[in-house]
Parts: sequence; structure tokens; C-alpha cells
Amino acid sequence: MRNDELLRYSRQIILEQIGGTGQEKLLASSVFVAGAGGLGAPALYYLAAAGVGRIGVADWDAVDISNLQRQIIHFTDDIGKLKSDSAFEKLHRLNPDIKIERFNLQIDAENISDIIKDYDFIIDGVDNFPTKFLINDAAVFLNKPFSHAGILRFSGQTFTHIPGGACYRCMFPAPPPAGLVPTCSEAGIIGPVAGVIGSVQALEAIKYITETGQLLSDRLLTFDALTSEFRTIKIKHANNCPICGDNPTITELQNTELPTCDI
Amino acid sequence: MKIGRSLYNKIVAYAVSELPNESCGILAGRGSEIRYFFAMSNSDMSDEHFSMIPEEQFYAARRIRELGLEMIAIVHSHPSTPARPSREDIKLALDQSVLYAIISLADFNGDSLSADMKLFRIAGDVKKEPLEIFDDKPYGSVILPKIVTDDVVEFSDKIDLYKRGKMREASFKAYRVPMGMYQQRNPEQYMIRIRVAGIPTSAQLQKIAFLSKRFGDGVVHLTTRSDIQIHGVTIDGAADVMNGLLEVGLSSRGGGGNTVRNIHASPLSGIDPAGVFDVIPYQVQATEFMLESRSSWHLPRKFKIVFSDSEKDSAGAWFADLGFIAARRSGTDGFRVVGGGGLGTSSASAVPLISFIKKDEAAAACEAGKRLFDKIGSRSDHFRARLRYAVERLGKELFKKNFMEIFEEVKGERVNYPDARFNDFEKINLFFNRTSKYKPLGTVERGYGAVEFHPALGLIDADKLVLIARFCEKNNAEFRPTQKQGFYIARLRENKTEEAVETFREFYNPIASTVPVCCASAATCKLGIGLSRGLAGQVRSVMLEKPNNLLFGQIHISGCPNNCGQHSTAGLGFFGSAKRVNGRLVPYYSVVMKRGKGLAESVGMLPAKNIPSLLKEADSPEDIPGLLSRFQMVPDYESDPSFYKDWGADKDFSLAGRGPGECGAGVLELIDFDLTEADSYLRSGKFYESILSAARSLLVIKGIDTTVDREIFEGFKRQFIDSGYVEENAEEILNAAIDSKLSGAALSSYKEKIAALIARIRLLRESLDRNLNFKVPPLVKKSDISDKKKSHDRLDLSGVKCPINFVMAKVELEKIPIGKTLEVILDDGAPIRNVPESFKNQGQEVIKIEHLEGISNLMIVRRVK
Repeated sequence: MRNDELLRYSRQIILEQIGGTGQEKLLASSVFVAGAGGLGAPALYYLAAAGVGRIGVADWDAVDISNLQRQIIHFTDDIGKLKSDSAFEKLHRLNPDIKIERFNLQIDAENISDIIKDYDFIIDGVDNFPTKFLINDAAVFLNKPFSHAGILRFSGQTFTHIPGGACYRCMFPAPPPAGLVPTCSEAGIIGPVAGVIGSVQALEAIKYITETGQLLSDRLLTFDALTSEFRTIKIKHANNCPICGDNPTITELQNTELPTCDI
Repeated sequence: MKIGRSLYNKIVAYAVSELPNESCGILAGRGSEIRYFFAMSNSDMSDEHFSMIPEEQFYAARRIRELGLEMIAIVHSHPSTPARPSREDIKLALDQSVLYAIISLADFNGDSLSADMKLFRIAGDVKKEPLEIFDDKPYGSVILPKIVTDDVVEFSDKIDLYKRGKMREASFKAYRVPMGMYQQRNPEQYMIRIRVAGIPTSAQLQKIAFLSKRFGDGVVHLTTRSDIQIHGVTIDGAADVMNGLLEVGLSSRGGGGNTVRNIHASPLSGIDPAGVFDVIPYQVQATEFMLESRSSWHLPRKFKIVFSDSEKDSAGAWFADLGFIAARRSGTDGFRVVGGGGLGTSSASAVPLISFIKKDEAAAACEAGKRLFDKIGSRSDHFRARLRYAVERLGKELFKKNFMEIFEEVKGERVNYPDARFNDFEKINLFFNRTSKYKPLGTVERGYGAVEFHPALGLIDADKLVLIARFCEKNNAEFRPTQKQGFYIARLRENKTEEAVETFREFYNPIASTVPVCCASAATCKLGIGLSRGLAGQVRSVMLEKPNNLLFGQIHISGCPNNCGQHSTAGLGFFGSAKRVNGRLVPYYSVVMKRGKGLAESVGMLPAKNIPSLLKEADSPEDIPGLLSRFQMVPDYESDPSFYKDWGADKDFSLAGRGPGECGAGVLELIDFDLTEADSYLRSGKFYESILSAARSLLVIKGIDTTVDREIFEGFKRQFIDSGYVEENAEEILNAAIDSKLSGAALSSYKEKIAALIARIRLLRESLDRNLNFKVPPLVKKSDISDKKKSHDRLDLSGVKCPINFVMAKVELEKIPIGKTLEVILDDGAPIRNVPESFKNQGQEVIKIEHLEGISNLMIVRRVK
């Protein structure tokens, strides 16, 4: 490790659980973040800051003024820029020592496997159910760990899948029917909730890479900002899971179209 | 007794201006120093004797009391006899408590030293009193600091390099614009903008006129910010102009670029009865203070400071980056401070910053304003860099808070500000008949006044400027530039008004609407859309004919939205734009009008061609909004092509050839230029050129400007790699570039590394402060630790602070096998108290702590986990 790196990461190297070896692991690791939005922004920021050596970021959208309330990696000057470019610039300025790979595209069944296969850990920061299921399915097929999260209004939830553990479909076999997806007028979000949950996702990646503490695997963390309560709910690998169960019905990746709302 | 030379010169000048008669007056002062001169009337109007008139004597006595001075002497002149009291002088010297000064012009040859002033005590007999003349700094004149002289000398070298093709045009621009030298539309010609703060002397004005005739086009231009410009200077004459200016204490330093621009003040400060007090001493002080500081030359954008002498705000403090408005609070003179205003494509009124500061704090407030701008002004977005955008970003309260914090910080510093120098000379004339066809503007000096002159477009033939300067000198009057492209002849005896007006009739335009204030447009500017001067000529013709032209007030015209013609301050103003009609471009103007306080707002647009007709039709400005709809029609090209031509143009209107403006160029823009080039070379696969541009970019801040590649690479290595600002591996890129030049080897494998290098340089550039120092610290170099800290088997962490010493020791400890030990040298104090504890807390075993000679301690840890 170079001396300036030692200084940059000194406050986490001090930690007994990280140390120089943990830092070397981070520098040698790679994380893919799907979506540079409300969840992706804080996650990307902390991962770059912590010195994750290679970070991939995918987003097809451009920065809109309504994003700025929670997507803290984008600034007013960035309005109209591609989110992947905007994120790249900020991360590069934050930590020029790490490699950032940007994907200006919409993740779909055709490209996802190729993109995530070379990363150690995946963070799901997307805003729609079809892509969330797609990330789950691709990760299960490729035996990749990933952090799932969802946020709405004043609450959020997250859990971590590790190969062999419970996956997203173990809890929710299929995307909800259209009527249950919040309509645009219902889909508000308070910014710091994205910060809390996105930060937890970054933590999960760091903990996975440095083999520190206990991951949120087989546990669902929920956060209610109105009551300021965190709860964890035990979840179990389901034998009848359509993808990782005993008789899987899903055997290949598929694109689904569903109306979504940008939350 | 003693007297300062500048005051002495004024006494001589007054005596000369009263020739052929004797002049007279009263000298006041404190102790043995003469500090103040009252120029008074000789009611005898004779060349052999004088009498004062009692009203003037009483007035002077009252003023002396007000000023807290004592009367020291009565002075009179002998136009052609020696400085000796005549028999009559002795006979009439009735007051034994005062001295008598006689100034002889018998041998006067134009130099004030050839006049002879002597002091006498007359009490029965006549005794000569010694009089010492000491050098002082005059009131109203800026004393240029040495740094400006040095910069001019250095700039002359740059001109030379550029002429010999040893300097790129872009580099030269970065030096010349902050020197107030702008390229005109004809690229062979330059405009030089001279900052005129205070009261220009006759000698200064004559020098400007001479330089304009000798090296320019023989016409000088008065601006809206009290500058005087010389146009049409070729590259060969530029150094001569700048050196010539220095000879009379003038400079164009900071006339352009991202600098503290000319600091201007209310034109009639000190003599305007509405003024709270004379702000010129503070204008001059601030100018001298800003000029002597290098940090005034590398700001995010230009920085304009204005002093107004009353709430009337005759100088425009509310539209300045930093404005001072004279105020009096419980008997103390001071300033209200406002900031963040400005005119431009997006104009803004200033925000009140402090309701009252003492006058002596003005220079500190200027420094604070400058530092604030340096801190919060945007260096990356040139078009939103002025302070007013920072107000927008931060909000008024935070802006104000930031200013206050810095102001307190500046006040806490012990800085020697230049002395403020006050007026020491006052004229009284209650004797002469006030017969004049033209009534001058009344001022505080009774019997004296000011006449405003407003040359069309602010243009004066250099020859005429000489005459004006000589007229002022002869009449002991002052040339005071206005902010309307004109000037006053001020402190002029009322009965001289007629002569002034008759002599300079062509510049005397008392109806403001007949002389629109107008930007230079095509004359110098590459940016302008409309030919504002052409329109100004049309407006003038219409207004001269108009019966009620007085109603229209001062009209302002800018060729583009940039507000150089200050249209946003106008009761009625125009700024240039263009519209496409029938498939062709038509010159248009937006019409702006100011209603009440604040800025003028747009009321609509008009084809340029229709503006004169509209003005003919309107009986008063209030009619204009209602008339606009009637003048919108643009006939097709075939039936009337004149609508498709701008005023004063012989070709059809087009926007071709408009380029970026000149005004913001500076060192930072040069760096950006190189970095942008580096990026585009990188994209197009020209890797060598990309590396070269990147390496060259920052060299300018180290004063290195060379076109030799080898020197660029060497300079970059020495200045930025060796000093640790750029990573050591950049040297590898430079070497590869040099190799590729020699061997033709491809550089494509370096693409990523070059991009990273450019990114690092851009980071450094963005962290530059106004002194051109990097705000980011240098990188810690690999060689530093590996050499020093790991010699022998011990880890030497002396001089390394907590907690970094612990971090470094920990990382080393992790590298050795479990059960082995590591020796670490630590400083006394916090390191030796804390680091062993930290290791224990993390489960390691500290075997021994040993005190070494001096301040070091040795700690030995065993790796147990």
C-alpha cells in the first residue's frame, strides 16, 4: 500500500477488524452497483471512499432536477448529464486511485450476466421490480452475492443474498401484480431513507469483502423512519423457490415489462 | 515651518492661475506644519497689491475651526518681483500672531520649484522664518506600488517574446488581458485600458493624449468605469504606451482579466454638497492596497469595487461586487458596505453586508471581499463566476455570514494599509460676479462649480484632451471622470464656466438623452451582436430634434445582453439581439425601462431599424411600451432590405465572426485552454500532443512559458512531480512520450494513464487559490516512506503523529508472522502514551518500552493474532 493510501484509509485500517489486510482486500475487490440513484448514490460514494479497487456503475438515465433531493452523487450542474457520467466524475474526484467502470445502458436479460460476472459483489439499487428480479435471478445463476434493497415513502428494507442462502424469490416468488405497484402519486420518498438503506448496502459489501461481522443473509432488515425503528425478520431458503428451490421453474433469464414509477 | 510638496505645488498653481494679478489666501495647520490652503479672492484685482474680503476671511476662519486647525499664515503672490515683503506688505501686516508667506513667480518657468516661497514674521521688523519642503504623497493620486512597475517591465519582455514568435498567442493573451490590453476586431490592433482612480492630473491627461497620438489612433475613450482607453495600438507600440504611462504614475494593470478592476468613486466626491464626506482618500487607499497585492490578479472573475459618497449612490455601489456608501452615524464618518451586485447578462443588486464600518476599515473590507470571492467564487464556470452567482448559490444570509467571518479575520491581522490622504486645499470666491450664460453645478466651494461634459460615445480627440488638461491647469480646476463616458471640469470658478463651455462646445451636451451611454461594440468587441454605436448615432439625431428630449433622461445602449452600456441601470435602454424573419437574420434590440428602484426590465423587442421612428413618435418614455406593437413589422427583404442591415453597417446583418469575449482571459483560462486541448488530443488519439499540453498547462503558474518540448517535460517534472503534486509514475508517461518522439513507438497503451494524469492536473488547477497556490496538499511520496521509515529492522515513526503512527505500525505488524516482534520508534508525548495502548486493545502484546536518547522511544510488539 502506498503511503498516501495509508493516510487516506487510516481511519478504517485502525479498526481491529479491517487493518492493513482488510484494506488490501478492499483494494483488490470489485463491486457492481446497478443504478446510480437514491440507493446507488450513497452506496457508490462510500465504496469509492473506502477504496474498493474496482467499481462498476450502470444507469441509462440522465440527471433530472427531481433526483437531486436524494441522489446525493449528482449536483445541480449535472442536470441533463448521464447519471453514469455524473457518478463517474464524482467518484473519480473523490478517489482517483480506484478504477471506475461506467455502463450507460439499461440492464436486461441479455447483458446482465456478462456485466456482473466479473464482480465480487452486486448491489441492487434499481427502482423497478422487473430489474430487481432480474438481478436476483442472474446472481443466483452465477453464484454471486448481492444486496437487495427497496425504499418507499418513509421506509426501507434490505437483505443480502449469499449463494446457498435465501434469495429474493424465496420471499417473493414473482413480481407483484400491476395493481399493487404504487402509482406515481403514491411513490414518494424521503431522501435520508435512501441514504440509510444505501449506506447499509455499502456496509454489506465491505463486510462481505473483508469477512467482517455478520451479513444480513437470511435476514430482512426493515427501517421505519417515522417510528425510528429498525427490525430484522428471519427469512428462510424456500424449498419451493421457483429459482433456487428443489424443483426450479425458472431456468433462464427473462425480460418482463411492467409499468414503473421513478422513485 | 514645514510644508508638503504637493500642498506647496497647489499654492504655486493657484498663484499661476490668478496671473497677471496677485493671488492671496490663508495657510492653516497644526504646530509647525502647514497642512491646508484656502485660495481666496484678491478684491484689488491688481498685479501690485491685494486685499482680502472680510466675508471670505470669516468663512475661512470658521472652516479652520471646523477642521481643528490653526491659522498659520497669510499668503500672497508677487507675479514679477522677488519674494520679499514690500513696504506696503509691511504696512498692512497688522496681525502679529500670524506669519506672512510670499510666493514669487519672477523666475517661474513652469516647474513649481522655480517659484520661490518664503515665510516672514512681521512685527515692526521683518524676520525670515525657515521653510522646509518635504516630500509627501498627494491627495487624489494613486502612488503605484513597485510591483506594478515590475509587472510592466516583465510584460515588456513577454511582448518581445510574442513578437519573436517565442510565445503562443494563447499564452500572450493570458498575460496581456490582465494588463488591460485587449485585442480589437482587427487582430493587429489593441486597446489599452488605463485605470484612473482619484483625480487625474493635467500631466497625466496630456501623457495619455500623447500616447494615443503617438502609438494609437489619436482618439481617447472615456468609459463607464472611470477608465480612459487608448485604441488602435499595435504590438510594437504596446510596451511604449505602458512605460509612458508609468512615467506619470498611471497603469493599465488590472484593466482587464480576472482581477480587481478600477475602483471608482462618486465623480464629485468632496465637493458635492450632497456627499456625506469625501470618499476619494479611501478610493485611492483601496486602489493602492489592491494594486500592491499579487492576489488581486488571479481571482475567479473580475472584481469591481465602488465608493459612493452618499445614499444617492452616484457611483453605483449597489451594482458592484463590493460597494461602499458613505454614511454618518452619531457623528462618526463611515461606510455602509454592500456586495454581490453587478451588471451583465444576469444583473443583480447588491446585498447589504454591514450597516456601518469606520472609514479606516474600508481597505480591510476590500481585502475581505476579495478573499471571500476567492473562496466562494466559481472557478470552473466562467459564465457564472461573478460574486453575484455565489450570492445566488449560498443565499443572502450565508453570503453575509461568510463575509463577516473573513472581515473579522482580516481585521485581526496586522497589516500596514497605505495612508489615506485628505484634501488639503479649498477655494472660496464670494467676490466675483456670477455672470454666466451657463450655470455650473453648485458645489461646496462657494463661487466655484462643476460643468459636466459628455462627449458622444465617450470619444475625445487626443488633441482636444490636451486642451482640456491645459484649461484645467490654467484655471486650477480638476478633470473628474464620470461613469457615463464623460467628465466634469470641477472646482472651476463660476465666471469661467462660459469659457469652458465655449471652448469645449462639442462635448457640452446638457440634455442627457442626446448622448446615449453606449458600449464600444464593433470598435473593440468580438462579442457584440448589435452595432450599438450606430444606433447611438441615430438616437442622438432624433433626440437633438425632439422638443421634450429632457424627459427621456440618460439613454443606455449595449450591443449585446452583457450590459457594457449599463442598460440595466437605465430609465430607457436598449440591448442588441437578433431574430430570424422571413428566413433571414434581422438586427433587433430589446427595450428595457427602469421603473422605481432596482434594475431596468425588458418591455419588449424592436427591429433596430424601427427604433428611431419609435423615439420620434413617443412624447415621453412612458409612451414607449404602448407604442411597441406598432413598430414590429419587418417588410420582406425584396421590398425593404434596410431592415436586414444594422445601423452603421454596409453589409447585411450576420452573426459570423463573433468570437468569445476578451475580458476574462488570464492564467487560469490559459491552463483550461491547455487542458481542453489535452483532452481533445487524447480523444483523437494524438497521445504525444495530449501529454505535452497536459504537462505545459500548469507551468504558467511557475512563470515557465516555453515552446520547447524538452523544457516543458523537464519543467513539469521539476515543478510538479519532484514536489509531489503529481504521482511519481507520471514520469514514466513523460519518458514514454519522449521515447515515442525518438523511436516512433506507439503510446496507445498509456491512454488510461494519460487520462489519469490530466485528471490529476485538473484537480490541481481547480484547487488554485488567488495566489496561485494549490489548496490540495502534495501526495506523500512512496520514496519518502520506504527510504526513511523502514531502514534496518526498525520502523522509525519519529515525527509521525497520532493516529497515523499507529496505522503504519499496524500495517507493518500484519506483514510479519505470528509470534515475531516488531520494533517501532515513536516520539515522546502522545505517541508513546497512545500507540502501545492501542496495540494492547487490539490484542497484541507490547513486550518492552525503552527510552532512547533524545525524544524517541522504542516499543516492541509481538504479533499474537
